[in-house]
Amino acid sequence: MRLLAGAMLLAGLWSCTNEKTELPIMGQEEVVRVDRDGETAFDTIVHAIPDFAFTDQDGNKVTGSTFNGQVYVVDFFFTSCPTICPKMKAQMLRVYEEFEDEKNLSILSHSIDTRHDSVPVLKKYATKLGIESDKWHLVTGDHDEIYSMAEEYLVNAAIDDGAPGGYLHSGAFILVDQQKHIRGYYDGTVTEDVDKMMDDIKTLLGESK
Amino acid sequence: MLPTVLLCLVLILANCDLISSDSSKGKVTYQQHCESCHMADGEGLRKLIPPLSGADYLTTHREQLPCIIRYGMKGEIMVNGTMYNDSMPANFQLNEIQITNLVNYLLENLQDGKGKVTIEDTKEALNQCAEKSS
Repeated sequence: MRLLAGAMLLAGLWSCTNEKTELPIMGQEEVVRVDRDGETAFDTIVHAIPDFAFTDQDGNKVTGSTFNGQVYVVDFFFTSCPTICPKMKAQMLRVYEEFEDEKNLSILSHSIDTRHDSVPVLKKYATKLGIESDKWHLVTGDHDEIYSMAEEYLVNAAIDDGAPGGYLHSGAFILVDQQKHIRGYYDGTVTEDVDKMMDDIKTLLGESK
Repeated sequence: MLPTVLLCLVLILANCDLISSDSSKGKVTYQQHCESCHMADGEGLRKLIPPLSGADYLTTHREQLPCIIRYGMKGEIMVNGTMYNDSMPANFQLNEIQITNLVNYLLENLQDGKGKVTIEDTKEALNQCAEKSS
């Protein structure tokens, strides 16, 4: 009986915390030993996106702090991509337009083609899409840093001469919260998935209020 | 006896496939080779990828469509009053039947549907661009 009550209490507590944050925090948890007032204690640290430094289509420096206090959506692409990128961009345009007036939502698209996609190439691409860099950053930078960021976001990106266009990459949109925690993965080529992401963005924006 | 009948049937069906130009088959080719850029309904992508549905270019460049599909294209083109200047990749893997069905799909479903093309039209068109490129 006591056991049952305990379980119910636990379940109650869990549902309370669960109600507060509807979206899971994704990524590996790590338990670390900390010193708390001379006593040894243990803390659980959830995977957070480390800092980075890239350059966007207007030549602006884009770092982790560019997104401080913001929810942001991440993807990987390249401008000459003949496969899934146009569909991903068409879907991302829906997100861009839905949150056009929401200053706490940004988009970060990494080009994985550092040989061809220079800042002017990205600028031309952005102009043709009709997007502004204050909300949607198309970034380039150091090749290794871009590919290691793909690993941080836990998605695939690779040079592959056998693939159409010469690169392979995930079609995922990754949703990152104000604390740089990954909160969701969505298929960036599927309308219903992106609808779900837009709902989740609203949830995350609401969490901070 | 039965194998012979079956063989005949297969031959007849195969033959049908060769002579017909079926736009529903073109739809499958469209989905596999065109849709990721030109989008499911052919609307294209802003000023990056030109639309196909309702595009004046399809009507004014009908004869060139098989060559554009097979060899891709580069440079400036004007579609419905907007200038586009990005490259379209070639599709050497598509044979003449697939190209014929695809052109008919484009003309019937994304255009006014006037005038079907035949496999002969496609072959003739492809001969002309093969001559140009050689």
